[in-house]
Amino acid sequence: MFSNIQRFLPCLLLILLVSGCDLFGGNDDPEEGVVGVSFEHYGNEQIVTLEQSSHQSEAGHSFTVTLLEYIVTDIALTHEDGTVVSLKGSHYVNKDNPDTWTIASITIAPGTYTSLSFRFGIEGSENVFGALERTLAVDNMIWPMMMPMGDGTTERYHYMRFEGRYGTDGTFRIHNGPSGGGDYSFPVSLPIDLEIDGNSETIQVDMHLDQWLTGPNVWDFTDYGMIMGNPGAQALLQANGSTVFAVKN
Amino acid sequence: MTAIVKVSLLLLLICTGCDSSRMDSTPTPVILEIPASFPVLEIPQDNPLTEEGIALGRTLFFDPILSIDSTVACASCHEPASAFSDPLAFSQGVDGVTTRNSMPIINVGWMETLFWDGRAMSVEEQALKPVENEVEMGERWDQVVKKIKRHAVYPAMFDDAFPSQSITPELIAKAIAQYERTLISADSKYDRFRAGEATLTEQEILGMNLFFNERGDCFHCHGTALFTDNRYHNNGLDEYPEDLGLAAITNHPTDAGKFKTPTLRNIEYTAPYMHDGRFETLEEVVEFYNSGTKYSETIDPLLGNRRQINLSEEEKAALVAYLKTLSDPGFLSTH
Repeated sequence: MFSNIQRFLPCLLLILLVSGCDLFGGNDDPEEGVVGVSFEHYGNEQIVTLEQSSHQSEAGHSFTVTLLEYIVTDIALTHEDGTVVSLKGSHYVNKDNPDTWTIASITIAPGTYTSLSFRFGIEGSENVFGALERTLAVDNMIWPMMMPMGDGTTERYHYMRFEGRYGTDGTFRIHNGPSGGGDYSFPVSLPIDLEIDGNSETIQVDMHLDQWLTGPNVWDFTDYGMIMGNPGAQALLQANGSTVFAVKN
Repeated sequence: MTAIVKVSLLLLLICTGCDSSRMDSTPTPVILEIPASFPVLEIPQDNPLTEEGIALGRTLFFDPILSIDSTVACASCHEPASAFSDPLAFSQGVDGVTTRNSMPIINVGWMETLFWDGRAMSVEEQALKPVENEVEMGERWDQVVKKIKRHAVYPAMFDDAFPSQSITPELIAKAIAQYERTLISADSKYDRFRAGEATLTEQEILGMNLFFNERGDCFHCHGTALFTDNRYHNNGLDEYPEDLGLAAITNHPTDAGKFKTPTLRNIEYTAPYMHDGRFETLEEVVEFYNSGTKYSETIDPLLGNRRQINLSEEEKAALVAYLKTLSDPGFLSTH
């Protein structure tokens, strides 16, 4: 019996070594994890409910939201060593469709990630109709070729359609996108502190709708109607966009 | 042939209940040709298109057997000559007239919801509805199934289309849905213009520009290749909508007066217009959007409140001319 053990002991040790087994404790190598991104929408720190919740604009109007849909592109995480990990090329969000509120989890390398970044809208040269997934919803974001765009050659996409009602009988429509040859999409970079070591995490990105209407430019619904052909208005929204997004901590 | 083989073949035929000519009847898959400008077409996994299913669905679509007195077929209210809509404001059913205008059946494969009020979540579900509607067909589904089972032709057609499946209301609806998904229209003058194969007149181009800019602003609801956003809007027809539309289904007061955006493809052939057929001509429709929208609490923000576009007579005529470039005459006759 003992001689049998002696005979098989070297083999047993070899198997343990090859299989990476640590007889004296757990494996300390960091492991891959999975990360998803979700989008939530607030107005004055209150979650937006379409057609129901009431919010306040800096210009003094109470407003409700009837439609909110937008496109973000180049969604990525930045590792502390500077490596950029792409999560998704483009994503369409519609407040009316919960299926669109989340970017499905993907597997990423272990480590510390320090920022989540994306572009609000689509960068100028890439904003060509047909370049994004051809779903019914995304197709509805068409920005026709007749709208002032500079070259007038093809359709593009809206970055966002944000519509609603204000006051007693006012309505508003904030549609942003390329206008007059200008690209009014903008990059967003949000600091995060995300440790990945075999864990599963969801990063919640909050869009603060009231921030589209202020900081730095106070947006008065009565001053703006249709703005797709108004590069000046698009520039104001682009500037206000800098405070619209935040990561939920 | 030996006696053993003969006996074996006889047994096989008996066991399979077989008509030897139908032993290998696997439905033939059909892959639709999707127009390049259209979005992705999603076909339910449990109802793939087949030649046999489409043929069966077509036969059923034109057959009044679905109605209680065999007088009303799907095609009675969805006439091919009217781009599968009804020239009457309200359709004649087995017991009176409907309360809404029949929507055209054009490119319905791309519709996530159907009917003016969105009460069907698929083409299959839509196809189930009219039979038991007391006004439209007034029949019970169990009676329809009985009639079809004892019909001279249908049992074999069902066996070809859906082998080894019992005839049920759901199967009948699946066949009709398969046929309806083939009703694709994408060969209008405007399509050919976009493909560089046709030219538009100056008037049509003026109308197109109005359609696709924020002044005319038709495109926000009708701007995709399907010429419908497949959504629900209160387009300002009434200050106090009597027909609640979507709200009757959702029970949300905020949906009052909202109706599904109809496609504008073949709009020339689908008069009268709106959910209640109140406008006889495209000229009336254009004038309504030019000066006639009414404010109500649920009016769509795209229309604003009490919108006045102030189109000139030339511009209104141009819009109508452009809308007629969406006509696809071949669509009316090829189905």
